Amino acid sequence: MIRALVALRSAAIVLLIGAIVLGILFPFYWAIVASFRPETELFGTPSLWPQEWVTEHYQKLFDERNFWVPIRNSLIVAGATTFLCVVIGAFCAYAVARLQFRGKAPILGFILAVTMFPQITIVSPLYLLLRELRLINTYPGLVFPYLTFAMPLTVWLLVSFFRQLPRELEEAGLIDGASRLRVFWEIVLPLSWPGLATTAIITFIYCWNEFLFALSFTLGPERQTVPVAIALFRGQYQVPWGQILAAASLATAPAAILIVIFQRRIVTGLTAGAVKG
Amino acid sequence: MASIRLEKIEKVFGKNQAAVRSLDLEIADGAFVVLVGPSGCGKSTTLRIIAGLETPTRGKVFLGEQDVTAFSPQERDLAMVFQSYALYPHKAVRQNLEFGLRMRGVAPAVISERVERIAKVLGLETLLERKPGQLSGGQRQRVALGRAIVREPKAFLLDEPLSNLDAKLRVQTRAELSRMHRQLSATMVYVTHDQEEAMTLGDQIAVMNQGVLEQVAPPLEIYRRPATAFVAGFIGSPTMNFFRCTLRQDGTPRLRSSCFDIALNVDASLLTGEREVLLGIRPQDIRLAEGEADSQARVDVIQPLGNEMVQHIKLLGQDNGTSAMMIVPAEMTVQINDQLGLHFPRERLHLFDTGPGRRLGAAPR
Ligand SMILES: Nc1ncnc2c1ncn2[C@@H]1O[C@H](COP(=O)(O)OP(=O)(O)OP(=O)(O)O)[C@@H](O)[C@H]1O
Ligand SMILES: [Mg+2]
Repeated sequence: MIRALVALRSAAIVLLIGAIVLGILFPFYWAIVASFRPETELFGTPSLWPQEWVTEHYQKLFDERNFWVPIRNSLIVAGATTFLCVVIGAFCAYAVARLQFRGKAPILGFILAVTMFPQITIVSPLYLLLRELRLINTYPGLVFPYLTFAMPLTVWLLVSFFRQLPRELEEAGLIDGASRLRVFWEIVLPLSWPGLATTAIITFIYCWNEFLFALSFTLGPERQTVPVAIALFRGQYQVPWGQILAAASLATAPAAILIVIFQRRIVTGLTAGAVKG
Repeated sequence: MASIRLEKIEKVFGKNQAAVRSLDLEIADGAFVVLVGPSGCGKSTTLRIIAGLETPTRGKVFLGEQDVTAFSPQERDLAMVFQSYALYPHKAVRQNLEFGLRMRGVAPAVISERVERIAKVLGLETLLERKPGQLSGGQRQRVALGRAIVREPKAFLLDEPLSNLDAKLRVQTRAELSRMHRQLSATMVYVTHDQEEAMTLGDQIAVMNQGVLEQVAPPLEIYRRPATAFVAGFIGSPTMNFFRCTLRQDGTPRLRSSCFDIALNVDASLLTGEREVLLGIRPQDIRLAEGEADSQARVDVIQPLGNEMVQHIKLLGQDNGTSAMMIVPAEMTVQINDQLGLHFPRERLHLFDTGPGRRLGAAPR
């Protein structure tokens, strides 16, 4: 009797988890599958499996819409932001993690507060500032605003990585006669590359997906990023759903690939950031 | 090489967590000083203050004649061996050994020559290209020592460097350390919580308890004339027996408790009136009485150790008697519940006051 109940309970749990996973994955599945359906089938009776597979949406994306441009823009902007964040953020995070200085706790609290700031509130002041600096519709005009949310994230993640390193290694370095900077360069950095890589990936994905700033601070297709380009897709007479789905599938690809490859590292990175600090 | 002097060092963590209290310590050039004490007594903190990894809340650190209190570890030029070894995991053994020399700008030719020489001395030649992760505990320990020695520093600081080794390797390495100290004639400060290790290694032993330095002296003096009840109890194995008793002076001074009443042959002028004292005697020092016994005891437990035997005994008196330990030769035939007459050799008695546990001045040698 009890055994039956236990079996029933575990079956129920499996079912529930299955349902949740299905619920999360289904839209992705639907989008990807739909991006390979012919336009006519898109609006026919829905079926789980397309009757006919076509790649025309993808071809059109690059032939007619020059989708390479937003991809290039996104790569440049997300790449540059990530690079700056990791390089500058590493120094900042190390200082917060290891050095003694006044006002460390407030600084850390401030960093956390900034990550929680609603972006929309700073869009208009930033717009005015960027216009003043003639940076609207330029790469730096996106990279600098991106730093405002990406940098705190990077620092926050890196602080917890640096704190996990055994302190004695750094002390051994100091006693061996290295300066703080040297210790950072020769001991801390080589040991924390998994942390740096994880942080870079997370930051990159954040920037890659960013929409609001990219929409507000660009004017035309030559500087638009992938999410903006997709949102602004228009056909002459109708919304090109097939292409939108194809573009969306492509836009998810880098994130999906990176996360699958570095899955375990990223999870530990996120939890480290959550529990420590 | 240099002498090290600590002057009134205090270290307070946080608001009022005192780890080291008003510590004065002088370490002569070339001495091997062992800092010993129970866990949490502030040994590591003291060592780290010498190294410059921790800034003292008050007090001064001198290297030779120079006040180095404000110096960074880099400027002090000391070497330290950590309990966890703290080898750089991403560098091969050779790079680990080279690091300190490289940081101090030694010429590459000199570096490789010195590294080769140390590697040979420590038997690391075949391991030079390995990463620390590919070494056994003993090998890592030797690399950690090598990394310190190769620098030819002013002094060596060692924080429980042997505690991760198994018993046999520890004994071997201890001997090796002693030999090394003689060869290098370098100043060494060695931290351990193991009193036996302290006795075998140091030419001076500094015993700490709760942040306070209780006594600094050569091993035999520490053993024979412990300055406080804490030192007496901490050094020596099995631990010293302590009995509360009354020291009374009526004619010759006498020690009385419910279990014994013994006459002392000390300078009576130092003792006035009647007072509570703590009598200490080591298990090794209790004898079987040949004539009149100082105390009667019953045997509780017998633990043979090969060439000797540890007996847990009860001194007979009021209540259930007082527990004690004694060591007797293994040949002695004795059974549980046997009653023994005990003799306490007067020259082996230690008297301490009952409050802070200070040794009472003229107590017999
Ligand atoms: N960074 C710190 N912050 C707060 N308290 C500390 C810190 N380092 C040490 N302490 C405290 O100071 C006291 C002495 O510590 P210390 O590490 O010197 O002890 P120890 O004698 O080396 O002990 P063990 O034999 O266990 O290594 C302990 O009570 C410890 O909790
Ligand atoms: Mg310690």
